[in-house]
Amino acid sequence: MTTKRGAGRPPEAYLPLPPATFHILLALADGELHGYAIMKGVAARSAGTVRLGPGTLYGALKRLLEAGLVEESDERADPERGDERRRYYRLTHLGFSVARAEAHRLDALVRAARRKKLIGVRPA
Amino acid sequence: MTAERIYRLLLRAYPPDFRAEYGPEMVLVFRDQCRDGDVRTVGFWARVIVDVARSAPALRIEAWRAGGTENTRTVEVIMKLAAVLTVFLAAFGIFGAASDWSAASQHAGRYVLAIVLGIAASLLVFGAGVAILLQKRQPARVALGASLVCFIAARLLFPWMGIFLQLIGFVLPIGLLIALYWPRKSSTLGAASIVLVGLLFPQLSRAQVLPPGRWTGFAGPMDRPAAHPITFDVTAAGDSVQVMLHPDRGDDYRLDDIRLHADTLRFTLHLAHALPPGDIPGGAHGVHCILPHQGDGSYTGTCTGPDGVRSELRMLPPGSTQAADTVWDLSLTPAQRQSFVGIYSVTLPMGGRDELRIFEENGLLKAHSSHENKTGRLLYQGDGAFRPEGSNFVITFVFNGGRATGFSGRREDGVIEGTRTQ
Repeated sequence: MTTKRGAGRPPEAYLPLPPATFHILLALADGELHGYAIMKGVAARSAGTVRLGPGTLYGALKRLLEAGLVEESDERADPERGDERRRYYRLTHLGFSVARAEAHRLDALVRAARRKKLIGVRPA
Repeated sequence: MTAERIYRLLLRAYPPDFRAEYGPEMVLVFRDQCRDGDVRTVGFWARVIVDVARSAPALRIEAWRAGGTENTRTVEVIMKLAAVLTVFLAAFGIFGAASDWSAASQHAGRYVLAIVLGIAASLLVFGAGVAILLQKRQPARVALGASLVCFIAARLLFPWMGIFLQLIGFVLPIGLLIALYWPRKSSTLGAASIVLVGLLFPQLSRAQVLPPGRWTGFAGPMDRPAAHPITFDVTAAGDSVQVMLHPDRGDDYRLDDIRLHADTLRFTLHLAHALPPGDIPGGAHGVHCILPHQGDGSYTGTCTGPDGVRSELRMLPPGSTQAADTVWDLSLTPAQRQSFVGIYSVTLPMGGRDELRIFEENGLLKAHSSHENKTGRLLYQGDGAFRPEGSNFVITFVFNGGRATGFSGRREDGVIEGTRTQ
């Protein structure tokens, strides 16, 4: 049984998020996914630069579940794979807020870097 | 061995709870990886091992920390039980110290103060127990610290406590203090209290040194424990003491291997002077004595000779005016009895006056008090000292030209002095 330790904490209290955690939240922002689908989504979104192993993935999911950022939806078989039943995970309302807050934080950092011309100017 | 089997073995690196919760899902994911990747390449297995090596230790540490939280809860449950026990033990401590009050009243000053401090220490421990039950940690710490200070002061002032009371007084507060600090980060106060106790313990051991001076006492067989009056000369020699035993007759003895621990005095008696060859009485081989400290301030116990014969020995510290009820009436020769016979003018405590007539009747010395209009026996305690029958004090006579010229003694209410008038 997991306990939600994050009850009452503002989303900003969770920042900054570890990169793997933010990737998982980003993956789940599209909807509920099972573990392997999350791994595939992360690898695709990062163009293969971030590869989560099962240990890293489920370790992060365990922490996210305990913090109340993610919840289990139900257990069912993946229609694409059609094998054993898998657990599906989805973002909670808090999880959305934290992902949004982290995105804003990173966006502010990127804009700062752009102002200093560390990266290219965004096309108008 | 299949790849999945190898991965199941690698999963043992994870904490059991985590493995039980997520292990099957991880195997499913691994199976997907095997299906989509090339399990025969080194790169595949390198990624698997790196993943396990990175995530398993972190999860192990998290599980250990969670266990620490559980331990903290366990400690708190134990603390509550300990607090209940503390309340009962402290109540017992208060009762124990208060019951010593009657004994304390026979000693002036330090003993009384020690008892008061002992009661205060017990009350503070009692309060600490209640505070722990009410989850008031800081007041509990302060009360325990204060209790420890009171108890140490009491112990230094007068070593009247039994080993059980000392366990309550020292071990309980220290244990509770450590327990109160343990679940949280160590604090300066906690460390300081432990250091303070460590510094004071040698002082406490030093407090258990025999007071130097002329001790009195009695020795005799078990059925006549006061057959022989004796004196002891206790002299300090550096950190230790030297004690010589002078019996009323015969050779002097030396006390060897003197140990005073937990209010019990242990030593071995040896004859002070070497004996001629062939003359080897029991004393030459050593008589082992064990004398527990008594509530009246004396050390009384038994001595066992090499032949197994046991005798009783009693040691009274200097200044002791108390005569034990067990001290028998020692025999006096008619000439000795006559040396005390006469009329004495007595100054009583608080300025009262009395006239004491000491006379001999049927071979016994008796005294008649005109103030109380009462006659009673005088029980000889040796060394010129008598205990009036039915009392718990002695009067000691002074002599001049083989005749008693006066006496002095200390009753509970003060000093009495007598001067021969006839």
